[in-house]
Amino acid sequence: MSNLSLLVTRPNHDRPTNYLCHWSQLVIDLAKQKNFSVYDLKGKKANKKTFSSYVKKNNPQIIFFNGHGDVDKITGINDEVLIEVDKNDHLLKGRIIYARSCRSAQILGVNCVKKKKAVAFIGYKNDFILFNDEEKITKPLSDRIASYFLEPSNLVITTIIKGNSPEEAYDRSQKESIRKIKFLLSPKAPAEEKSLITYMWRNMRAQVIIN
Amino acid sequence: MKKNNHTPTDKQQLKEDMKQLAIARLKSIPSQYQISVGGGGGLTRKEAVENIENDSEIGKELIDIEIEFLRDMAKGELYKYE
Repeated sequence: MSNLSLLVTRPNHDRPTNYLCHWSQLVIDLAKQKNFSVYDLKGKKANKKTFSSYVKKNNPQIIFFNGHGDVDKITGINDEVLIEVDKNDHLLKGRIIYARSCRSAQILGVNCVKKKKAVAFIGYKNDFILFNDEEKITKPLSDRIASYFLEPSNLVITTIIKGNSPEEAYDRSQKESIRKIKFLLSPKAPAEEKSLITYMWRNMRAQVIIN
Repeated sequence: MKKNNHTPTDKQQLKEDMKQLAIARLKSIPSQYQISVGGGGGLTRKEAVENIENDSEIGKELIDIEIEFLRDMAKGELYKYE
């Protein structure tokens, strides 16, 4: 069995989680190309019982969380809590975590690295913001507006999958955000898209690595 | 001139100015864009503006986001990423 393994949680019960679910497919496809064992907790499978069972049984090196969250927790399908500080965050020991969820870097991220010995936690200390184009809602992967937020974000996890360190992954994601912001500041960018800069800046500044 | 009870203080005026600034900047976004911030299923542009007008938690956060950006740009934070 390959020792490269990735577990992905991707609920899809509302518009933002549905977008994250679709965009995570790109990550999953890459991981499979790179011969990772991929444990895909999509939709209803993104519940606490299944999550805990998969982590314990399969011992994934990397966990990629998608979903809502708060300072001390990350949630799954229908906002069921998957992982929470001092309740079950010991499950993160020895792993690399990327949490695409709101605020969880504030307490959960710090706790799981400093106390529970996760290798690294990349996440957000504020709410993760996402814009989408209403006209593309049935085709999230074609949504150019969403791509401004989700391409830099996906780069965290795809960089790790390609064999780079969490630090390099964080760095590349930050640089991609800046590149897109600078593009939007340029005369080449569509005028109506320039308004996204404020929110992209916020996501970039809220993104942290704890290691 | 004596201030009466209905005169907004400087702090209240600043708060109101920030609110109006955030609303104006949000209104520059195309109406077909939808925003997801925090929990919940996401907002239309109209709902986002209503949240600011109603002083909801999301509304306050939207104001913070705008003000943080303007402050950071004024401080030249973008140029630190050359």
